[in-house]
Amino acid sequence: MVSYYVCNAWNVAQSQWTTTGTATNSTWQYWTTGTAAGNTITVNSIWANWNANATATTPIYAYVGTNSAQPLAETEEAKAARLERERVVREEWQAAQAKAAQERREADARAELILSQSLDEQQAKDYAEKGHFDVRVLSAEGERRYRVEKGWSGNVQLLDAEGKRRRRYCIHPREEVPFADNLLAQKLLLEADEETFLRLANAS
Amino acid sequence: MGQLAILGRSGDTKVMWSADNEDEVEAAREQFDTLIGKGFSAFSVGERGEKGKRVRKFDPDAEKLILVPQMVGG
Repeated sequence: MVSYYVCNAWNVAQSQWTTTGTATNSTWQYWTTGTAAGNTITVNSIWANWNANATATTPIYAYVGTNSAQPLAETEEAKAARLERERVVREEWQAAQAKAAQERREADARAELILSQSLDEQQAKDYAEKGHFDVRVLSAEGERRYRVEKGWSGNVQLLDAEGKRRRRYCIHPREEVPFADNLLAQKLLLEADEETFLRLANAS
Repeated sequence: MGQLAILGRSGDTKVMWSADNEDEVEAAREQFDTLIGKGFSAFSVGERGEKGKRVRKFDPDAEKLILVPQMVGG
């Protein structure tokens, strides 16, 4: 019965499309109800006409919503593969971090060595014990004493005769270098070219 | 043996040269000139603690030259 109606519907639909071009007896109408009459299409009628065992009394509801979609359960095999991928990524990251830390330690050690080779005996002693050293600069105006402390910026101070801070200077290399290299750069510039040091540094 | 110590992110990089070796002198000079062109400052240093002198030209007879990246106010 269903197949008869489907074939008949198709034939009529074809004739409708080719002869009249109207949708009075639409293809959909025939496919859903199997008749040429009536303009009401319901879900019930679709299912009933396509499935001989279904009835038209039971409404059929169906929807697909994002709330009802559930992810597929992860198989044990997929889980093991995922955990393995995560382990590899984690270990690579840890190895990279360890390598970077080691390189930083080696750079710091090299910088401390070259700085220590540039300090006189008193400067080396002060640096080891107190974390700073003084640089004395002679000029026509007399001697000025600068204190260079461990740090990156704002770590150079001009001291008065009593050893109190008069000014603070902020100056460092444009590119990142180990802290000890920064102190060496500040010391060299202060001693060899105080004028440029004072011109470049931000003072407070 | 002359030594060029270039301060950088990984600590200092050393370039050595013998005053008798023209190739080595030329390589060191080229490195020196390139970095000076990039804004580095060069200091000639001697014995431990001795005050350095600022230099603007490569000296093949220098014992140790330290090249410092361009300094800026912070």
